[in-house]
Amino acid sequence: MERIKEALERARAERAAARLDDGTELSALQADVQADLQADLQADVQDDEVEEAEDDSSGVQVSYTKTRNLSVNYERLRAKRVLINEARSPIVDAYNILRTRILQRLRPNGWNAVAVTSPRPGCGKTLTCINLAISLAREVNQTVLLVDLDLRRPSVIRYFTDEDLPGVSDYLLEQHELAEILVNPSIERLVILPGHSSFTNSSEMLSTPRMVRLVTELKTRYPDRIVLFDMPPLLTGDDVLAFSPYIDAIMLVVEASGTTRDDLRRAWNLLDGKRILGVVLNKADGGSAGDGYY
Amino acid sequence: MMEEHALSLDDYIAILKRRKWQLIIPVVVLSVIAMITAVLLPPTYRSTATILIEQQEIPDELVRSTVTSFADQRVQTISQRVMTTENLGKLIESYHLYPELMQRYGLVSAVEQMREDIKLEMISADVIDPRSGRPGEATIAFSLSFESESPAMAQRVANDITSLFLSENLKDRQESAKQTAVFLQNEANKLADRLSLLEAKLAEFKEKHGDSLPELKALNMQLIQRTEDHLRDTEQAVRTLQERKIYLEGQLAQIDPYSELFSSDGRRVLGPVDRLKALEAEYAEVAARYSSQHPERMRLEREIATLRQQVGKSANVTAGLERALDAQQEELADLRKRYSNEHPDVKALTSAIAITKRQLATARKAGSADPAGVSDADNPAYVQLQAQLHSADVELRSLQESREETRTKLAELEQRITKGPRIEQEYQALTRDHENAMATYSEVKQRLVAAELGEAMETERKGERFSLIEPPLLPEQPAKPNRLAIAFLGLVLAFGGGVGNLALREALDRSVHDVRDMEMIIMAPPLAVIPFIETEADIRRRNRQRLQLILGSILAVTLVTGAVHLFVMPLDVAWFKVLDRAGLLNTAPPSAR
Repeated sequence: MERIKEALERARAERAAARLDDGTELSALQADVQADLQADLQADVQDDEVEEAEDDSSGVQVSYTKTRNLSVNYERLRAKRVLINEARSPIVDAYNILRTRILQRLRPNGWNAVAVTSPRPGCGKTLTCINLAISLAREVNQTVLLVDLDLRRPSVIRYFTDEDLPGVSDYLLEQHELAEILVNPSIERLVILPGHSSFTNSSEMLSTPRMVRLVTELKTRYPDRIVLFDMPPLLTGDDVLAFSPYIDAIMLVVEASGTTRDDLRRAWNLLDGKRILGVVLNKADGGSAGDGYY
Repeated sequence: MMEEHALSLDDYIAILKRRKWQLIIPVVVLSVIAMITAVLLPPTYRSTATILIEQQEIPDELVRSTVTSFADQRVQTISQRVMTTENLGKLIESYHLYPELMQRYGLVSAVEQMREDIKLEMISADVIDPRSGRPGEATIAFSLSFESESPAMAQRVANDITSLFLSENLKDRQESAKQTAVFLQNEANKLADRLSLLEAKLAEFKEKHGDSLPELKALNMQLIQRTEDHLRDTEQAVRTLQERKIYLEGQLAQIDPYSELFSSDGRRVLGPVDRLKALEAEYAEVAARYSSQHPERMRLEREIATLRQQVGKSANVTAGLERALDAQQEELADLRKRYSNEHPDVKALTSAIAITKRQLATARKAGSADPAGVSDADNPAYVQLQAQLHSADVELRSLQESREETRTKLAELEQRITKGPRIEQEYQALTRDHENAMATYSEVKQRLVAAELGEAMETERKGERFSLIEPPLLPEQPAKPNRLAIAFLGLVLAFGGGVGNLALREALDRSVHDVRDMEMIIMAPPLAVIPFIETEADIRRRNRQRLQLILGSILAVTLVTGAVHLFVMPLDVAWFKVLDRAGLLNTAPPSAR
């Protein structure tokens, strides 16, 4: 089963690459993608050139012609705690609150690059990142790019597929171009840049000119795009600190009953002087999460 | 360091929610342990004897006991004697007590356990001391108890220990009284020995210094007085006799020892003395005229020598010679004025003086020793006088001797008086020792009598004694443990342990729990609080775990119950046992009889 699926994907990628060359058979691509999507997926892909097209209305309507499309399994995502089209629940509300507050802080300052990190591993940083990205993407005024910059343990794409997709590491090693590694997980206005293989010297890699070029391009290509960087934990390496000049703000994820006060204090002190968006308390008890109004 | 914020009720509820298992598990586990302990603790029965300490029957004023220590002190002493390893070991062996301890650790630990199980309690009463009138506390009785898991055993052992106590007390008192008497007897004997020694010493001293003893001083003084009188009398007599002697000598000197002799021609024949005088006068003349070789002079010399022998060396001879010497010396001096030393007269006279001097010396040497008078006197008057003189002489000599004796005696007496004070000192020291020894001896003798009385009292059991007023009874209810109290206390402790565990965990937990913890550090509210996202799998897993827990518990309880029923004791028996121990079963405990 798995092998057949992989074969299909590979064939599709080849076809996509071929079409990118002449750029004519858009309708064919559309039909192809449509066929692969799940029945309840509601993203409508429109005739729009990603590379050159400019939006002209209030809502951003995007159709991914160059980006690799990834069909996702809702059951799988839910089992991995990724919330895609949940009914309104306290958790979705919480993410929406987070989204709104972030947008309220980003927009007046004209920021769009946010690094998400946590004091230690296991705080739910990557999951928060994904759910926040989905929540942001649901807001129709901008697109979202989720970049897996946890070069030590890249894991974002694992939430969506078991496929071995190329990622940032391949770009840095100059094996692939950026357009080849971007993935659309069948969610409107959301594009993922996976990590693929891991580096041991991740913080040096983050400072390479190619990396800097990549980040600059990601940040500046579209004004309405919000870029979320999933970064390694703050206290286990210097990645975040080394990378901080290229991003606009940092968001810290803290695990309730998991992160110690000392770690939080150290992380907070490390970020002193940086542009901090704020702290998110993750995995909170039902009682302390909210008012349970709904 | 961050400041502690005061916890509100909500915080407590949050903590309780977060850590409910950390509370529930210790509480449940500890409660179960407490319950099991309360039910399973073996019952302990206690059998108690009460022993009254009775005062002595004979009034104290009449016979005083020689056992005077306080009752409670004595009880303690006796308990130490009774609870020796030897005594207890015998009991343990005869009743097979503490089989497990004996097997595993030996006799010593069993004896230690037994000492713990034996309880000695004093029973005191507030009394007023009849002598001093002050209120005080006196031990009037004591109780002895023994604890055992078997009521019959508790009673039997308590019985034995009680009789050990009673007999030990009796033995102790009799022994003590006897010891006192024996001690006093020994002391009396020692004192008697010392006394006789002192007496012997005193007698010896008296014998040695008997004359100078102070008590004889008056007598000695009297003796001196008398001796002095006697001496005076003697001296008086001596003087009288001497006078008489002189008188007699004078008389004697006037009388010619010889009767008047007349020759045939009627001429008075000269007595040797007179003739000697005549011859001596003639000799002086001849010696001046002739040399010593002259026959006339030699004849005269011979005659004078004979006469002298006859007459003896009387005082008058000496006197005559002295007179002659004086005359010769005067003549020599006169001659020397006229002639030189070479003159024949001078020469002759000088030699004559030399002869006279020699004669005088001889006469002086021979004289004086002879008694006065003449031995061959024949004049009756002279003889009579001579006899009187002689007797006076003898008497005088005897008196003189007597006087010397008296003087010696007096000196001796005086010495006695002088020695008196020193002797007195020694004597008094000796006497004092003797008196002291005497006094001590009589005192000890008195006490000995008292002690013997006391001993008799103890032997006849009329003194203070222990009487058993309540023998150890067969206990009907276990004295220990108080199961309800243990269970209740166990529950309280279990809850306390649970809460303690909770508090400890909370205090040790340094992690961020809620918004407030976070705000204290970052000084701002969080961007958002995202609840834990529960998946279907989580719910399924939780449900499965619950089910497993319940099923496992049921299975475990069933297995344990079954195991108890099969391997330990049947459940119905166990149930009745539990009821019994809880005191809910109203049956008498299994009796030994």
